[in-house]
Amino acid sequence: MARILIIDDDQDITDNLSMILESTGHEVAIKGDTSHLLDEVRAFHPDLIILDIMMPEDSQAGFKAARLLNQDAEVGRIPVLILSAVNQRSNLSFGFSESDISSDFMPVEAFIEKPVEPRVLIQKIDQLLFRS
Amino acid sequence: MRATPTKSDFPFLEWDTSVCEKGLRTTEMSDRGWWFIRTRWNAAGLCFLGALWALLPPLQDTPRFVVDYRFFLVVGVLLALSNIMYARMAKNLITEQPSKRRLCRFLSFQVLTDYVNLSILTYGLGGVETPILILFLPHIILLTLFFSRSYSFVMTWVGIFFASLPILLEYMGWVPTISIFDNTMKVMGISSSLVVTASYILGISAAFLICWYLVGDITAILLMRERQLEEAFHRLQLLDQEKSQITLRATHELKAPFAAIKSYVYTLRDGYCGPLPDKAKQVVERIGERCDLLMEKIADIIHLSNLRTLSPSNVGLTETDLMSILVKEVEDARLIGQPKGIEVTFLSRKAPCYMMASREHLSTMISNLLRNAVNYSHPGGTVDVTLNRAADKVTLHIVDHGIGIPEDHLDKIFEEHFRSNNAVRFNPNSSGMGLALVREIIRLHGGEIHVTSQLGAGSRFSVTLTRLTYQPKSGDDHGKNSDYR
Repeated sequence: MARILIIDDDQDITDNLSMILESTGHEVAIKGDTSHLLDEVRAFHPDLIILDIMMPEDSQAGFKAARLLNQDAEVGRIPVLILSAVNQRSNLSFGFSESDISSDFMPVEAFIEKPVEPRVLIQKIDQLLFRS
Repeated sequence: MRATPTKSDFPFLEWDTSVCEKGLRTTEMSDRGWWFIRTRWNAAGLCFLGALWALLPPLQDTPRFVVDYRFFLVVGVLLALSNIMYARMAKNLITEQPSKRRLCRFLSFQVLTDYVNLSILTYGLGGVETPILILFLPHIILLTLFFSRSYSFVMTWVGIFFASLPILLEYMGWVPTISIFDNTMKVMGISSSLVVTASYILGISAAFLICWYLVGDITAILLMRERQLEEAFHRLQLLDQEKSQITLRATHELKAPFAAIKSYVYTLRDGYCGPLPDKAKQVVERIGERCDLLMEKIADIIHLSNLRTLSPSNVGLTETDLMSILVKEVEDARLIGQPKGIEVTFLSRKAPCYMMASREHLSTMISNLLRNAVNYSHPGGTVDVTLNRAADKVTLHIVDHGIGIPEDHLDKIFEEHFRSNNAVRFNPNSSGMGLALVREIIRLHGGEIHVTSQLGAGSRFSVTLTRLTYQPKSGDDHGKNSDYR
């Protein structure tokens, strides 16, 4: 089973995700913000990172973190899944669309809107882990 | 190959003119500097034509003017040669991104060159005998556009000097008097009269100074207003960005707790916390449904308040294919109608139909109308969608055969939260925001919406929008996979 790092400031979401992921045999680590991100990623060696977009420190913290990870030769290969309550219809805001996934603007492997059904999340995680 | 000219090729540009700057941006000065160059080409061309005209024999029975073609020729050549140099320098200055001072010096030298040329031409055309002196005025106007008040004042006096120079030199007898009129008139030459010469010079000076004063004042005010407008526009843009960020954060803050509740609902329902008794499962499902409704309602309220702050100019309209949106929304509506056996028909030609629109907002508008039509149809009913195209308009009709709207409620259905009694009974879970959103979106697109309805028989919503009369080369490609047949 895989090692998954969840980066989200909402404790209910992280608790809930750990409950689901641990019940399917994954090892989970939780981080509540994006500070010292590279160090912690290097320390935990995750196979997958689940990342929120909006965090208290920055409304685009998730995108910035994804770009930071992507630029690093060592951790840049780890697949990133964005899981956020923000979507296109929550309007105007970031101006991203699905076509932006894997672009320089949003260098991540997948985007899922919260709330997500557990089976959809597990399916997506399996796909990403299989691909990587 | 000749290297690109550098600053050192033109040492006179080193002259310090820090006093001349008016407050224009470098790009504005640089762009406006090309006016001189363009106009000078025309002036040189006119001088060559003038030389040609002076060489031609006069027509019979027309007044005889005696003009030396060499004056035109000399001025034409001087203008053309100086303009070649100035055009070359201007190109060079653009690539160098020059300072304002350097541009001021460059423009000052151009004005001085023109003064000299105009002075020669004025002399050759008989001084005050022709209205050639008027050509100094455009330079005075341009000076006020480019330079500071004090600097343009000095340059105006330089203009007055060059305009008066031929007249003064003739009066002093330092240069031969030239008259373009025949001998009879030449005898009456005005150049020999002190009063006439002085009055002409005073008149010219007064005209130039009045011109400098008035135009200078107007341009200063206009420049100030332009800067104020730019500043206000910049502030509005910042406010707009700030508003978008606040809206986004508000949406996120309101949505996040519901997302967490809903996630727990899924976790409980799917047995990740152990198996649930059937009754508990039902309760959890209902918590989830109410959570969805509340979330939808909040999203609609935020969406509506956001739309109301927009105007057609800042909604971000692009060339959008209405048909691709319609095809997708009809498909979605069919899925929603399926459980109740409601059929959604769409029989119109599915060729692209472009308009200036916001794709996201048009999708919301069509989706809301179609969802309403399906939600208020009886099981097994039909919803008919048609798109009628006129020359520059397009009308979308969405017709259902459902519960209809009471006549006295027709003018209220677009108000937020309003729901007619029969609608509440038939579909208690609606937010009552859908048609308010529809109306706002149509307003932003400059369209119209009409509704006719008969209680118990159904409703017809007709939306008219302006379509593009041409096929855009690079229209949006969101609908490229749509089924166009």
